[in-house]
Amino acid sequence: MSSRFVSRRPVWLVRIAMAAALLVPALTVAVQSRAEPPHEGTPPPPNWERQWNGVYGRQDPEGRNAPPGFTVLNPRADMDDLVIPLLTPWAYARYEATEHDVEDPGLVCRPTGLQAAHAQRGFTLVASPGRLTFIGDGVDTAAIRRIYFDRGHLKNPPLNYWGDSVAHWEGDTMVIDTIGFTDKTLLTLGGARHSTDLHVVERWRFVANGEYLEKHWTVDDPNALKAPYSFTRYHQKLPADARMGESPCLDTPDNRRAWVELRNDGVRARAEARAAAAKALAEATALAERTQR
Amino acid sequence: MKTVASCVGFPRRRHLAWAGFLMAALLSPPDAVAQSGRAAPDFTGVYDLVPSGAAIPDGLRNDGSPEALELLPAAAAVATSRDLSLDAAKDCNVIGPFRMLAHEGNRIDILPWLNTTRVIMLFEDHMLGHWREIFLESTHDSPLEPSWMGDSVGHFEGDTLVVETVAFNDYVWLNSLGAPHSDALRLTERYRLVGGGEYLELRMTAEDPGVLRQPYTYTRYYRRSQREMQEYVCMDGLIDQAIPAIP
Repeated sequence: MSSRFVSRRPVWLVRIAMAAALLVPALTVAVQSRAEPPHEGTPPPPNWERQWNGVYGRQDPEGRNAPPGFTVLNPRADMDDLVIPLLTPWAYARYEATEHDVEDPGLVCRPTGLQAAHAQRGFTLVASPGRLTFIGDGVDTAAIRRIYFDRGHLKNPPLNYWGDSVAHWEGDTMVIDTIGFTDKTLLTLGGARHSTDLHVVERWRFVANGEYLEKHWTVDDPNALKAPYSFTRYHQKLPADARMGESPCLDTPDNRRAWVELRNDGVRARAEARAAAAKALAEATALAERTQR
Repeated sequence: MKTVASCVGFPRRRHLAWAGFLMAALLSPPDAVAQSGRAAPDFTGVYDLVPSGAAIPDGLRNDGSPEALELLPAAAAVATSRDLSLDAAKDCNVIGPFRMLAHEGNRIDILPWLNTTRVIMLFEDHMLGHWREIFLESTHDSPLEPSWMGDSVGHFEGDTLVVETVAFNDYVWLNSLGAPHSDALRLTERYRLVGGGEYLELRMTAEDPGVLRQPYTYTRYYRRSQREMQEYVCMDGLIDQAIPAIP
């Protein structure tokens, strides 16, 4: 019966149906293959969401805050004295050429990326199925970061301020692997540069009877660093009713006016450049016409 | 009494739905579902604002707009006197939930907070939308510090999540035409799932007796998205425009 049914349809319709039958699974595979499969790791700790969800406190400016019995690895307000000597000649040249006032993302309301990890800001963590979301205190610059458990890295990740983060469990430790960074961010407050091959591995776990989250970072970049470096920071988990609040980067009209002036200056400069280019083109065209005559 | 834990669980991906549901059930206080008699609807997920004019099943459509607010004379005079070039929307600054939730192209990420009574709403364009916490089983703090996103508390009325927000700072305009507001501004958002759970309906009402001729309501539909939230940095475009030399 089915063959008779099909045979009554025009051949082109049958071909479209067959093509669709082949195409749909192919498209499905294509979508699924945009990312690597997730790292298996160990099973997540029972009810880990209950422990990890919450608001986490600030550090002291030097990053020395640690629970009793724990020592901060490489405590610093910034990481310059640790990182600058590790820079390759290429990265050091970029570091020296950096115009800090405009290229430090945090100074122009862009996400600071890794640089924020050294700072003392607090954050909020929210677990949801397949994902942990990091909301930095000062969302605009500390950024919102999504860490995926249910997939591996995207095969062609867009270059982001916070990169493409995937995670798995090793016992009670969450291991976060991040690639796909834009090279607009800085490694240090002083302006150490990195490339888009920056690779960061973080190991997060609770210590001190669950009162502190320990973050251990290992930073590597074959283009920018002669050797990887590591550091730890500790953040105290705050009571369940703690609120982080809002903190827009451009939070007052005065700040906005400054930006409007800057924007208008930029627009004006571009308009003047366009006008100058058009004038030059017109003059060149006129000259060419006169020459031809 | 419902908790966030009883109203969350659907993950971004269908194949995790049951795992999420099971986890939410396990993490719910045992009396929550029993007292409510039924599970609260789950709003967890990523949503895209349906463009105005786009077809939605059952004849539903976006309706109204912040720009359609009718102002009382004094408020209209304030709006007229404003320099619209200082509109926060033109400078990647927070525009408040009333405008942001009607902002074309808006994408939102609604997150559960399994062991507390909060719901978090994140915006892909987080410089315009920033982020919001909606506190269930809570009342507005007193006194309240005015802010860009206001202070939001929520409760369920059947399948509808009702969010009430007050305490906005004076930097917030109600539309791109410079509409002001007073300290009495109160927003009421009513969220419910429609279209078999594929769409999130938002009915947003602004009340401000000293500013608006009457309460005003607009409707927007958001569609569930399987596309992950992207990192969008509004300031990139502004800086590229302002300082062309910056890489």
